[in-house]
Amino acid sequence: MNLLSTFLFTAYYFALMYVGFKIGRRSTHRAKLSRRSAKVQDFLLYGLLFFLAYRLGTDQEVVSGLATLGYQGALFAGATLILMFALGLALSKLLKVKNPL
Amino acid sequence: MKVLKVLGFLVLGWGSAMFLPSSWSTVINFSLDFYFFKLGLVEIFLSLIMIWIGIDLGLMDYLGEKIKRVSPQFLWFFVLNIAVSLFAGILVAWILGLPIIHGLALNSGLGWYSFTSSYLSQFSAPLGALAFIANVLRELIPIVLMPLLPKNFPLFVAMNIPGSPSMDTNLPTLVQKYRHLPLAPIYIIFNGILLSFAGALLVGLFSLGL
Repeated sequence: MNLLSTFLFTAYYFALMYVGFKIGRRSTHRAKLSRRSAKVQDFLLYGLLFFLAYRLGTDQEVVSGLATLGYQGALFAGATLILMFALGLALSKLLKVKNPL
Repeated sequence: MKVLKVLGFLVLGWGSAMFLPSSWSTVINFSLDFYFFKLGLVEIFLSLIMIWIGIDLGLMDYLGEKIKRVSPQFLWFFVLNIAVSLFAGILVAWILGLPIIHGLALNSGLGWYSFTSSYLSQFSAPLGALAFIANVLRELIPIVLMPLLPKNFPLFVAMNIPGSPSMDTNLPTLVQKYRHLPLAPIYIIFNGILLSFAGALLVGLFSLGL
């Protein structure tokens, strides 16, 4: 993994989005696609979560690491998440940011 | 209800890994190796989600006009994310009595566990494992907690909580959370791309001190 990989990885997902964008733009069934969008995204999300958890659960490095390094990792992740949440909200109030419509 | 479903599928996946015969994992964890990444079932689902998000954007009316309204304000939150990640890395390393540079290196991955752990394990296997767990948790905890946030929670904060996974594994939960904001996918993906590049640069930079 290096910067080139990062670039290619990003380009791959951009290309897929572009394909989807073209499908959406040219579709003659726009109303039908819109109606089904939430259900399809739900299905894809749950499939992704299932296989992600399965992959992590079968990874010996993760399973054995959870017992020994778990609390240290949780501390790093927890501190980052709490600080990002709190300082993000503070910055949001400071800049008076509203959600973009 | 949503959070229960998310948790349920995570538990089901993890439980299947524990209880299904190991021969199944060869099938379920299959992957095609390309130069820049592995394409397994997770990536296939992710790819389908990216296509579907593209379709959603394509179905949007007056998209060009909406893009012109993108606010550069989100960049402040991108900078804050990097500052917070580095500060938390220093703070926790200090609390745990670890070398500060270790905290900086593993937290500068900004949630990108595959890159950070594989990169840092070249220098130290335990550091690579710790980077893996810390970044995996940073990715997974927001997936579970995102549906619990109020509907009017600031998008720029929510999309920075998971770090760079906001543009991949966390993207569907974020997009669903902000379904009422047509521009949300554009902000989330652009921010995620910036975070991924910044993460790769920072991990490389801090690993020089290991």
